[in-house]
Amino acid sequence: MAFWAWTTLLAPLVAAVALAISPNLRRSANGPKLAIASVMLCAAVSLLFWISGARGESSWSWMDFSAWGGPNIELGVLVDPLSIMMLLVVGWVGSAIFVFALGYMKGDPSIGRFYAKFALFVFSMLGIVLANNFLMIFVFWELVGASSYLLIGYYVDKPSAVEAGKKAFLTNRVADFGFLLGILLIWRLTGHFDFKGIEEAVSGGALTGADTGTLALAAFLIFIGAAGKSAQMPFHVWLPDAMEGPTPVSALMHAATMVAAGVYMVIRVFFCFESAPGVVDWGWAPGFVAMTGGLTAVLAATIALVQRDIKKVLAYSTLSQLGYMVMALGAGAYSVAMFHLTTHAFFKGLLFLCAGSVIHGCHHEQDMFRMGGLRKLMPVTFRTFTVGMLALTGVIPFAGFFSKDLILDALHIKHMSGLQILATATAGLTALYMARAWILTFFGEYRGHAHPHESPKVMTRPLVFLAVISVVAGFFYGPFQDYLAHWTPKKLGIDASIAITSLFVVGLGYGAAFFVYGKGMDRAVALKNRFRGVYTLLDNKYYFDDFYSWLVRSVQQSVAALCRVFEEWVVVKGMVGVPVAATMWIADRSRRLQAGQLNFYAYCFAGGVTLMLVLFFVFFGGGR
Amino acid sequence: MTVGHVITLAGVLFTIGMLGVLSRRNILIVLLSVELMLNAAALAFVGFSNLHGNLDGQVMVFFAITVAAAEVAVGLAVVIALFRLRVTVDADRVDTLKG
Repeated sequence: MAFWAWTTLLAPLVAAVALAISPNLRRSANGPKLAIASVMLCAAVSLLFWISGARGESSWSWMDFSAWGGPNIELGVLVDPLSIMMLLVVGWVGSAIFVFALGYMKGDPSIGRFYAKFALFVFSMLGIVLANNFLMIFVFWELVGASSYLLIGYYVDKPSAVEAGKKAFLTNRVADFGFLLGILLIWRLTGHFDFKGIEEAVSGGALTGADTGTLALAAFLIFIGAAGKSAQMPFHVWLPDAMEGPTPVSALMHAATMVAAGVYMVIRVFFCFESAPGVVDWGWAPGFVAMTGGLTAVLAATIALVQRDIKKVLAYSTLSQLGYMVMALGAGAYSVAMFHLTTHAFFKGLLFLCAGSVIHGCHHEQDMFRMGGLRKLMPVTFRTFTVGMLALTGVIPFAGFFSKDLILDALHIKHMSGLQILATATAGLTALYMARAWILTFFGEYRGHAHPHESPKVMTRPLVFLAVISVVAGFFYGPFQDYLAHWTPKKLGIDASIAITSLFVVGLGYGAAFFVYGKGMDRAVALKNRFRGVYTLLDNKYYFDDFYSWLVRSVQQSVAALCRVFEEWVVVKGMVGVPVAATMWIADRSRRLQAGQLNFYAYCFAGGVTLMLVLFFVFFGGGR
Repeated sequence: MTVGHVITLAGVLFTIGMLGVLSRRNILIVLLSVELMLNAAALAFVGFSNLHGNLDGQVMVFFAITVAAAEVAVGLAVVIALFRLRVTVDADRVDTLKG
């Protein structure tokens, strides 16, 4: 077990390093194949673990400070149902995306660099998945941030891509600071970094009094870290901009890996949230976890309604679906959150790859208003996109239906009626914006100027693979919850009344989309003119970006100006300037001693010798 | 002739040499004065060697004479080089290293 776990963790790193140090490999066709093989190894190992039922933990002492009363910092891999499930997602969705990228990036002169960064990203993600302690998860957390920066800014000659990479990195850094504080607080409270030790220390009412308050604060800080990676409000701003990266990057980061990391991490340390009062449930209102998720879900879904860029629609849809997962976390339904994460990884990965195929077919056109009528021209992409859309919008019997309904069920059981209504409404909005994108892209007349064509087999085969899973995955909601029994407080089923309600709302969404966009753009334009205020609000994404710009410009810049005054007057002029002036003054006085007169030096020499002799006789002369 | 006479002579020679070094401006004279001081020290060695009845001091004098010969060679070479450069042997006019 341990050998294969370490191997699957290190294989992508080996591929990334090999590509990074060898220019020949980067230029050759074998470079991408090496990276693909490393990810496929992960897929194979995850399947092996799943079938063989492997369990275990293997750790290696990295830095031991216990002799000085500090912690023993370990690097370790933990193989349990949760990490195996996540490995399956990363491995299989990752493999499909890696193969797809071979077609999508074909002809790119720096495809070797692309695959090096891609493999490095997978390595970082696998580190998070397999980590058995908080410090290791944090290290790989930062690595994911760094490699996402590299990938989003892949098109280095495109300023907007570089800016987007910077934005993603900085936004994540802000949230990671909270995460780090949370980790340190947990360590102070329990003396452990490893999950097993922490679980024993906090669960089962082991904490009392003020300690539970500390744990609640720690859980809150850890959730901030998760919100950063999983792009929850108010840290969501980096995700839509991250669409500047190549489409396979968007598919990998925003479907299967990076944004899933936050949710995965919360499930991994769910005991911290369970044992802390006020995090999951305040008694009179849902806790902030569920609130954050609900808010993100509905706001992102409304923004998605007005996007023109096909990838941006999917980006906001991802935000919205992550909101669902976080709502499930807030309702204490951890295995359900994981189930939605899994199904979402497959169908959202599929949708992103379909978008990539469309963009590739339309010669790098991303505006949906310059597409249309692609149904005939790209039949495979059209069919698989349709499957992905049905799965995402939760149409029975596609995967999304089951996972979304379980979340609604979890909210219902916890009596979070407000959030349940919000989530159901979001399901309708999801249907509306997805059907809008579907109609604009695939129906009507072609509105662009390129000559769209179906993508090659290397791109369509991953689509078909993901589409098949998106159809069948949903039926396994029962066994899935059994598999993650440790994380399942109460096994949930499909509730008929909730299911029918949500299906009805989804139907309304589809109906509205067909009504508005089904026959040309006239009704859409009329709607836009009628509700101009709402449209402006949505088009400006609720002014989050403007607010942050204002925050940076006015608050941060004035603090920086203050620091600058301090630096110039106290540090430069005071702490550095005063010693410099003193030294110069002393030097100016003392240099006159160097007269350049040989006799003067001789006098000094003779005088010095005489003085030394006199002193010698004064102190030692009487000792005869 | 006691050791006192010898040491007195050595002291007088040393003082003359030192005054020469301190007061004269001509570098050649300064070098000569340095030689005088060196020989005063050698004379003191011989005197004490005689007093104690062993030859260590006299051996030391041979070393001192050897070193002095080498030193004079180097010193005169420096003076010649200086003269070629500056056309003077006046120490007061060689003050390029003034601070």
